[in-house]
Amino acid sequence: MNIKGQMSERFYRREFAIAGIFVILLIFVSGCSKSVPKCDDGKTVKAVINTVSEDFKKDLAAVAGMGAPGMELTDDEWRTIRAGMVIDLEEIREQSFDEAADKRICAANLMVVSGGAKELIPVTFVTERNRDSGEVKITLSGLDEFRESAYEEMPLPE
Amino acid sequence: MKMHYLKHWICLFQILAFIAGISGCKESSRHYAEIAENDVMSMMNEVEKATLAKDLNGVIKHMAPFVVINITMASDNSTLMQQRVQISRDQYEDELRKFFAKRSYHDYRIENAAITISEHRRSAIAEADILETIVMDEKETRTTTHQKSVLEIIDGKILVTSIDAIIVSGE
Repeated sequence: MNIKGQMSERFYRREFAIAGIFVILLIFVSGCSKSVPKCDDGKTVKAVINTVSEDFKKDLAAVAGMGAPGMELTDDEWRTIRAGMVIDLEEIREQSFDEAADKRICAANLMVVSGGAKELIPVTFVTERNRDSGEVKITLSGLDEFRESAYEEMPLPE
Repeated sequence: MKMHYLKHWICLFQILAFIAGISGCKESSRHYAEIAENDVMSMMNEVEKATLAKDLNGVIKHMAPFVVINITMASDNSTLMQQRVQISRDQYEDELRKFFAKRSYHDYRIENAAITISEHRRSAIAEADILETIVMDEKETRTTTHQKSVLEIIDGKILVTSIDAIIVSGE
């Protein structure tokens, strides 16, 4: 190999080493930063769906509880009902990210398929990390408003 | 040799100028970072004008492709239950096209408009009463609709992401 060839080989080796160091640094930096998960992060989506599911369960339990004693919603009954439902988030978007407060405000269309009927509910959810415990808290809104408009009290016949 | 490089540079400059021209045209519509009350008001006015001018695109262009539209017929003395229907943007566009084709007279007025901008200024809620007088097939109908719309910044544009329309009175 001539001198020119040796020089260029050395040059490429050095470039490769520098690039490698940068990649390692990037991995470290991204691994160390513990910002609150993104709006469409799998964990966030799962947490929102769980919150919705729990809310529906409470609603059903309240309705069942209004009947005669012993008519309460059992866990088995709820599991059967829940198995027949599809709850998912569509069109997830980030509205704002407050880096200082480690808080994201997100919006999405909540899709609920039950008994063959599909309903889309526009919701917003806030994800924020507790600085001390590191836990991520999710606050969902839009579901109550939907309930109010969808199940408005019927006027009683005179 | 110098002439050869010069030709290349001129050619490259022309390509760059062309790209800049295209992107300049693309950016002619405003790129929003925040929503202000005036932006919402001007959008409402644009929708009003487009509706009266039977400009379908002028109405639809303000809606996000995934907009959720809920239309509720409020209960009256004759019906105990309110009727509610959920439609997509495409379904709304179809209905509006049919409506524009059939109507012979349309008066559209916005009253009691109230705009709430979110703290982060990237979304807003616009509420208003829409008073309409429509003549279709020689039959006149007057309706009052309470409409609540959510607007968000999507890819730099202010778009409606949800509409809740409650037809409170009709005669």
